[in-house]
Amino acid sequence: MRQRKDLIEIFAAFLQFESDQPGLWAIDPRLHRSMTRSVQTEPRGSEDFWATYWLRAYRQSTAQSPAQRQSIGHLAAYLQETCFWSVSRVMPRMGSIQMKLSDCFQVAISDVPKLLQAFDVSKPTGLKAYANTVFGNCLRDCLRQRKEIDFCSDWGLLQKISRKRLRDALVASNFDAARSDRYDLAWQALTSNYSSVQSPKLRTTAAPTAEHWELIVASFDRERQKFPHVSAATAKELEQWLLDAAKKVRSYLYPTVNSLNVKKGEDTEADWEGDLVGNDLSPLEHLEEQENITARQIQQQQMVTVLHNAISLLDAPSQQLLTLYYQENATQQNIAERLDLPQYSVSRKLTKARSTLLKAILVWGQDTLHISPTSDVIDGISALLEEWLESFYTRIDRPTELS
Amino acid sequence: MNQLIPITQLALPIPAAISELAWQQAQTHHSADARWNFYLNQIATELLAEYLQEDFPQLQIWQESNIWQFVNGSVLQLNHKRIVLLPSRAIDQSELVIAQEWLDIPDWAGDYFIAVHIDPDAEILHCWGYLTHQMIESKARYDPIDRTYNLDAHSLIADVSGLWAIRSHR
Repeated sequence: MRQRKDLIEIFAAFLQFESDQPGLWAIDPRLHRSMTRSVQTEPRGSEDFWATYWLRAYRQSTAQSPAQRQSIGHLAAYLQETCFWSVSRVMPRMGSIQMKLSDCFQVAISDVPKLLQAFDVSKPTGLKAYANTVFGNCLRDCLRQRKEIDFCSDWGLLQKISRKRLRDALVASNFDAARSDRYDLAWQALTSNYSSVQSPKLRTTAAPTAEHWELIVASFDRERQKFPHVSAATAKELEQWLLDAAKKVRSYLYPTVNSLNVKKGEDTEADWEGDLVGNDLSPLEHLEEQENITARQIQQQQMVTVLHNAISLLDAPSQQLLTLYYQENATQQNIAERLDLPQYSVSRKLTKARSTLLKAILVWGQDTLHISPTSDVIDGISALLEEWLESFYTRIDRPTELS
Repeated sequence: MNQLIPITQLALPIPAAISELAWQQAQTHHSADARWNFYLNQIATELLAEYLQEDFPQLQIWQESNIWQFVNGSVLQLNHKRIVLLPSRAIDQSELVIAQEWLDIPDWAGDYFIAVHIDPDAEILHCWGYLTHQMIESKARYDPIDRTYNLDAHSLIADVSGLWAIRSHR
């Protein structure tokens, strides 16, 4: 994959796949024009500066507004390489699941809007390290769920989802509130009245028996009283709704990929231009921004030195584990076989080695920067560490925040 | 399936014998909800206490009998901090549901909250995120019908290894 160097391209181009390999970069014309205009107004801005700028624009825009879509577009472009590396790292661990690289990439990149919403700008990490973690987790979640869903009967599937997932699937199927409530109540009646006596295993759950249906119908009838628009239903009707719900949930997990990449938006050029003016950083703010960026870079260089030291202090077996896991991207199962250890002990030792490194940074941060290790700080630093370990061991020319 | 869990989280195998015994014991409860609460919490406390006691021998399980009939969740106590385990059997980790008792009853309230997925088919326990009490107060939506606090998955800290790091750092 060719890594982008041109500033405008970084905030306006999207990775294309040919025969499931990363190929060309496609420029989104509107993002290109928007970025060109922006660079003209602030020619001194670096890549970091523009990432901060668009993040700020995202924060200041109202939900679902053209301005918000514009900043999401620029940031989705900015995160393309990060997404690609993150996905490449997870894919060898898919096992038997069949999914193309380009589909995996789309699953991960479509998480950008949620990721931006959750990103806490006050964290000590930048967006890329955070996104690296989120993309990886998002793809892993999707793969785990697809695998499980293929094993499940409809009745098993209904027992293995959250209520939120049910509601989301119904919304995605364009159900109105009344119909959603009916299905939701039916699902609650099912899950709180139907379980097997013999075993907690759920995958092959069979349809409820007549006896269970009696309980389910009675429970549905009790609970529906709180919802005046939901009328009584027979077992037959409940069964029909529940099987339909299972179908909706299944297809919700296999969405037709609605890609952010080069998506034809609904906004006009004028929608975007109007918003741009108000978001300009003043020159003074710009200076502060650059100073923050420089200070962060110096700290990160020091952090890298701390890490090199910490790794050299690990015992040989721990170093070997980290090498196998990060350099060869070996699965824990594979490592267990090669080192003749039980798998849980591999995972325990790996976690330990990694947490020794994490603690080394925390101690350094506390001593030199007087940062107290709160949950947020640790989370941010751990994300930086993960990104750094991945690139340190693979020695791939991959831009990371700690380089 | 383990290999799709990052090392920054925690995955533990559930021994078949423990799973079967917990399910048998759960059958004394009348409702399916209570049976599942018992099963999930029994496994979560047993396995996580055993795992964590290797690093934190002072860790204890908070025993309060029969709460699982009404409420999901259990507590590990570590150095005067209360870690609330919130197990679920849902394969989609799209939200965390927290009974209001874990925030609003002073004697129950937790300092940390861990989202635990228990898969009785794959026989895996997976800690997929955690939160502090303050994070829940600032980010959660209160559902007055179910009397629960609900959080989107993205609001959780997905890096559970950080929680053990905090506890051992201090």
